[in-house]
Amino acid sequence: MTLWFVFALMTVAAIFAVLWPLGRSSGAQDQGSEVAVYKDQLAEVERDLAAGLIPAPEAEAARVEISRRLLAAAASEPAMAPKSNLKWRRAAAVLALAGLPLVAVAVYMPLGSPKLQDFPLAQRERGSGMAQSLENLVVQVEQHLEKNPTDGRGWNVLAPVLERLGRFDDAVRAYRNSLTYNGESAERRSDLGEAMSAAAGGVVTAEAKAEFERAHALNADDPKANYFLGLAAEQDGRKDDAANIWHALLAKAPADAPWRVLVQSSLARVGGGGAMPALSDETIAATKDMAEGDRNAMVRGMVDRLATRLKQNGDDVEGWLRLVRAYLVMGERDKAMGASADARQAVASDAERLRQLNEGLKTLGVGG
Amino acid sequence: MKPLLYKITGVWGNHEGSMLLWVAILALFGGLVAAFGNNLPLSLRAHVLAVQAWVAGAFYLFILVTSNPFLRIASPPIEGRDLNPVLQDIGLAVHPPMLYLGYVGFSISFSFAIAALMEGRIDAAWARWVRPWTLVAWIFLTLGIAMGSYWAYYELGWGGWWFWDPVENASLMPWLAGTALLHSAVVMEKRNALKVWTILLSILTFSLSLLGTFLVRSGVITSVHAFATDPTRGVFILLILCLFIGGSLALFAGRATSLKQGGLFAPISREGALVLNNLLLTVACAVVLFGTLYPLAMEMLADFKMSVGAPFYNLTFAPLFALLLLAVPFGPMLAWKRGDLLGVTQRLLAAGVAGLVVVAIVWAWVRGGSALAPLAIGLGVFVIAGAVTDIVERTGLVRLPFASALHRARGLPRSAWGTAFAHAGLGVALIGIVCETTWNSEHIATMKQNDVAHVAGYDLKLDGLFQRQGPNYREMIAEFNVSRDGKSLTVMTPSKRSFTTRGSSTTEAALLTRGASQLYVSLGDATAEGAIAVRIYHKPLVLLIWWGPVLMAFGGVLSLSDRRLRVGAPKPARAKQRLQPAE
Amino acid sequence: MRRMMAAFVALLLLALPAAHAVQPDEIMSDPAKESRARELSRELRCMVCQNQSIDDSDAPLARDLRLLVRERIAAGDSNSQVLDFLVARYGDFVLLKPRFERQNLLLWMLGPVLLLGGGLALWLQIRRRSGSGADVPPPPLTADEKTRLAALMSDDSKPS
Repeated sequence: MTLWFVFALMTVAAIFAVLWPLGRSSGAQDQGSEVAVYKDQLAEVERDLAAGLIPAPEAEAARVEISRRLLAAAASEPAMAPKSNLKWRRAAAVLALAGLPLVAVAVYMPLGSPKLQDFPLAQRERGSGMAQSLENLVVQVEQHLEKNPTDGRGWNVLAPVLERLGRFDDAVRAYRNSLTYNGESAERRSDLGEAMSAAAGGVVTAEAKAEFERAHALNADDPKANYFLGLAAEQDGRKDDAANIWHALLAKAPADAPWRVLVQSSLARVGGGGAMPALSDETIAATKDMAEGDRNAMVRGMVDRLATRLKQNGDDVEGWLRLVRAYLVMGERDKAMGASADARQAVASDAERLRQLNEGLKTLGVGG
Repeated sequence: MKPLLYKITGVWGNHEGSMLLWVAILALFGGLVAAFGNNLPLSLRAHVLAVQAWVAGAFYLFILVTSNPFLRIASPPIEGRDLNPVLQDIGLAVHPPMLYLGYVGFSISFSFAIAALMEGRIDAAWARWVRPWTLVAWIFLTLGIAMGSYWAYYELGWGGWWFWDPVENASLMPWLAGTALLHSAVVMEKRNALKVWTILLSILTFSLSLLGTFLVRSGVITSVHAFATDPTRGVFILLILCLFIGGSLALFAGRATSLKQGGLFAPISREGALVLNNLLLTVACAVVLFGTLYPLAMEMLADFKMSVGAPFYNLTFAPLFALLLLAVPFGPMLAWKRGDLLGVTQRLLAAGVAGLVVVAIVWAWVRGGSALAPLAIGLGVFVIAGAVTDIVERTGLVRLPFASALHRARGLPRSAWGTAFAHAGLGVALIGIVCETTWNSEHIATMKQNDVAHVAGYDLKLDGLFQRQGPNYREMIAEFNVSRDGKSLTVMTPSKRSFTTRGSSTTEAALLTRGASQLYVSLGDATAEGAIAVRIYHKPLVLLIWWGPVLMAFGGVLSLSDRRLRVGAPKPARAKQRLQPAE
Repeated sequence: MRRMMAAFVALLLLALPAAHAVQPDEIMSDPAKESRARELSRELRCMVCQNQSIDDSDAPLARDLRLLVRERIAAGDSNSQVLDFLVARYGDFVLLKPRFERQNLLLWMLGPVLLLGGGLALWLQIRRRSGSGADVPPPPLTADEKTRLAALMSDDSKPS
């Protein structure tokens, strides 16, 4: 209700702004004229002459020129004087009274959204849906950490959530902070490495590998570190090394470890299937294919989730870059180009973000 | 929490908000004409307001259709989206409104020009009426550009103050055209000449403002492709641009031929000098415009990627301005209609000698090296001395007894003082620019605790590195003890802020001002061994670069306060009565 | 391919902390060569930035280019050889000062041509017109004009 009242008040003010000058009789209005200007110019010439700023002949010539302009202006002035026309004034008044509100309503109705409810801060914090509340929770924790960056426990909680949300670069930063404020541990090192690999689209980068090696040095039995070191070896093309690492990992693993299957399928992939003697060659081949397929499906699922998220909220430049990078790693250059076009569109309104995006895209080799 | 100031300035930190500011200022100027335009004939005022309303209408539509600032975000962030740390600065709070006041202010001269064309009456009085509005816009634009330049200087961390960036060019072009307009309007007011050209300049100046808005807002500069992916906004502004430029030029073409020739003048005359000024400013403006658009055109038409950057502009722009500056002292001293170049030269002899002496002194002092810098400084001195000479001549300070000179100084129109200040400001800025670029000394090193850097006679000792926790960032502060000739001067504390959760960092340079010169320290990255990369600059007379424009703007304000510009407004009845007995 | 990608990504991550324009470790030991390098750096565009020279830019690519320029200088290239090398590698886009070539002729010649052409045209026009009357003072006011003027000037209270 308040809204409409404010609107009404604004409309009345606008109408009044038109009607008020119309109501005044035009004769009483102040107005200037060329005659006044030229008279002043003549006076100025006299002043300058008296002050000795210009010599007499020059002053005389100027005086004649200005006088001619003055006479011309005085002659044409009555013809130029606007005549007040009652009919037009009435028309303008009607237009203001009726037209203004009509145009305002005509523009507001399709563009405005008067039925939307208020959305005050308190309500926002309570959140509407699950996803909303998770995002808000993350925001709250992030804000808490911004003020108290030394709260190691906070970083510990935040990091895995960020990773699950697909904000890998933020997760990397959170794990780093967790390491700084909680101290060294093999688990945290390997978590950091995992986040780094995830950020790199599943590639165990040199930097990530260094983290796993540190984790391995802290605890030689850390399963995550061992698994990823194996993966690194595989990606380097050292399949035998990978197989050895994974064999050792399986040997030490508890029988009910949930990640046994993953390691076994990886092992099958690199051809170190000797650990599973009961299987025929065909089955091994099948497992290998399936495992590869599974893995691809997993990666693809991650990428698709990221793409969906970005489609809903395209502000995340880093997210876009990650998506493009992921497509490039998977060898799908067309999709990468498509994603970069989408990204440009999504952030086009924000020059700063657009600049960041273009910079990032150029570094990835899809810019231009 | 963000300080309240940045919550407000955050409004124009994005596209929608800045367009809102744009139309708000447009409406403000329209309102000012309605309120203070009572020295204009009614029909002219009505036409001006009508044109202004058309421009405003086009931009309201633009905002409503393509960039609604009141759009509700589906899931609003709890405490807002935060403003980029680099932009959280007082400079950014004031710079855009200033710049926009300038940009948009030229819409008034545009409206005046269109109104005059519609009425078909273009004469000397029009030039006087349009002058205060042009001046206001010009003053704000001058200050806005200078402020933006200083902001870049201290915030971006490597001490550059002008980059010939397309965004900067977009603000420089209306300034050049607006300066030309101010000068040609003087000829029109005094001699009823250059009428067609002045009207054209009014149209061009505002067109360049619109073009600047288009270039910055459509993203066409960042990348032609970025523009292509989301062309709605760009195309809309382009349409507005075509509508107004095309429409006004068509109107202009229809009416220009029917304009009567104004007063005649010889090539060597005040008018001639102002025409030269206009020629140089227009060519300079064309060079900047061309340099800004050429790469875009080449990429779109020939698919040839190229860059036009600072070295190009320095090479093409500088000679034009050197010529202009050389002519500046002559202009105000030449007589109208037919001037006496020889006489003026004689009167400028003292200024010329002053310039040459400075050239000799500077040249001897730096012992050779590039001859260009001393010459340019001499030129700056010549311009300043020329401005002083002009005032001395007008007041008769040398020829007449002091008392009568004082009397004449008081009677001198304020616009004459304004001219002198503005021209002197040009010289001041030139000296600053030359000194900064030529004798800027820098020292880039990795420093450990207790290391001492020697820069331009100053010794900077790194006392230590400290960490500090800010409200939403961590800060690494380096403390430098600055001394000269063994005498300790002060402590400088440049810092590097890292915003933990944002993962971004900003460099806070430390500045030490000594006279007009500055010592500038900014930090790079820290190495593992506790050392840190440090960049120290000594920038001699760098502040003159911004004092110049401030002086120019001050000249503008003086000129604006000239009583001539208020003439035409009917005086209140009582004042008139009191005046009558004096006649 | 993957390995290369990984290296690329690692480079990206390493570059994340804001670097700064010219770094201390880049500076050449020979001051003359260093100043040549700086001079060249100012004429080269950092291709991932917006209108920044590699001398000013923080981007990792700019650093690579700066090092490349210094490498070429150390190898004994002349300034123009260094520029040629970079243009061959990255195209004309890398030059902040476009070369004086056919496709850029228009850009370079615009200023001088406008200045000379415009100046000449203006000079001729003003001279032609002024020949007919700049020196001659305007004819004095006729008696009729004088009376009308006097009437206007005395009529100060006229509500205009």
